[in-house]
Amino acid sequence: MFDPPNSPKRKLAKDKERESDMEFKKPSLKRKIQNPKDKTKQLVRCVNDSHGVIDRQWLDGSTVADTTKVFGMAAIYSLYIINKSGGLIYYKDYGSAGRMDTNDSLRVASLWHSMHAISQQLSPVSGCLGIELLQADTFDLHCFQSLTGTKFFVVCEPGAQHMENLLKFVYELYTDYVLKNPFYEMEMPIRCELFDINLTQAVQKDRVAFLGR
Amino acid sequence: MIGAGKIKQYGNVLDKPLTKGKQEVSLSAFAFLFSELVQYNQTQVDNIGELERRLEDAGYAVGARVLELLCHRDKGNRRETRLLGILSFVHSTVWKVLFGKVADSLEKGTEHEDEYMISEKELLVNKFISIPKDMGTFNCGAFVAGIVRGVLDCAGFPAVVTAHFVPMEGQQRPRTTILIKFAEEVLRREARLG
Repeated sequence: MFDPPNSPKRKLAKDKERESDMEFKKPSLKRKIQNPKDKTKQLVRCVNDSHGVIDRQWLDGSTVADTTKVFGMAAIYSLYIINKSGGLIYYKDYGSAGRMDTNDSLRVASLWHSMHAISQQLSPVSGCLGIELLQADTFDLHCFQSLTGTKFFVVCEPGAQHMENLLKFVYELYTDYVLKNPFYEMEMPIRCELFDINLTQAVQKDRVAFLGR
Repeated sequence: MIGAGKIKQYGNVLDKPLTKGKQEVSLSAFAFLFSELVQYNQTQVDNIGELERRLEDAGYAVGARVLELLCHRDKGNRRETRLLGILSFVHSTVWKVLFGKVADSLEKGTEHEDEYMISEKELLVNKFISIPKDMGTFNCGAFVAGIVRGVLDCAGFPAVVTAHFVPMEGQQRPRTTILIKFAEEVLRREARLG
């Protein structure tokens, strides 16, 4: 696999490789797209692995669920909220692993906004609403998009459970303490004390719940 | 009209009986409406004092009408003539009808004879509002202060009513106190009535 592309050895083996690739890929493709008609359950998995496209999960035969049992605890690294035009309106980091300076966080936000939009066009299945989950070696990124285009995403440790519920809860807090605040201008950075207070309570609660398990 | 239908048509809307009405209103609907009221008034004024005054005036109109309605509906058209009577009316009946619960406490001021305080852990109107730091001591509870002033004024107890944040140790959010300062004539009348 690491031979230069034009070597004769690689060319002969190329067809065989393709076949073996297909063997691995076919069953997992079936797993991924469970029911194309059920748009709410679509999951677009984008795996970033330093060893190549086929990642450890497929070769082992294990699924994501198995690896989470090994990890157990879930910690959130950071939380982002971006408005419908892609600007970062809220950023909170929890712990040194997720910490970024302002410029970097702005860059991540606009990068994610673009990727999310591109994925909607790239999806082989029609009616895709964008990336919901990005899994990498050292982190997971869960994203929730509201009907208005506001995106809430959280960077957490791999295999973290119930992040979708957390994101939906953050959305509720947003509608309550940000949108009902007369001093908040739409699409501007969020500076609402009540939102911060309730958010810290929610995340503490989540952490504690996971530790207790 | 003869044979128009089963429903009795009232010629004048004032002839229709006053019903109890729906007891519940959507909190979100009220929160958005109140938020819009504050935002609208913000565009019309130059400073925070003006904004508070406008919110109070809006509340005054509500208070006047609420007094009329409650006197008819809940008190059988009896009028309160004593200070404590009207205060407990505001503290329990008015609060119950407007906010679904009685106010947390009613206290008499220690420093001045004419001061009374109704305090609440968190006013319903302030439930979703975070005041930005640069607005200082502004309190959207000025609306509620206006309601209280409207009730007291129209009941014959003129007073100056203001809303204040009172920081409490051990709690993140300060309590809200509605401070009622009665006019001279009220105290004189009260003293005369004994």
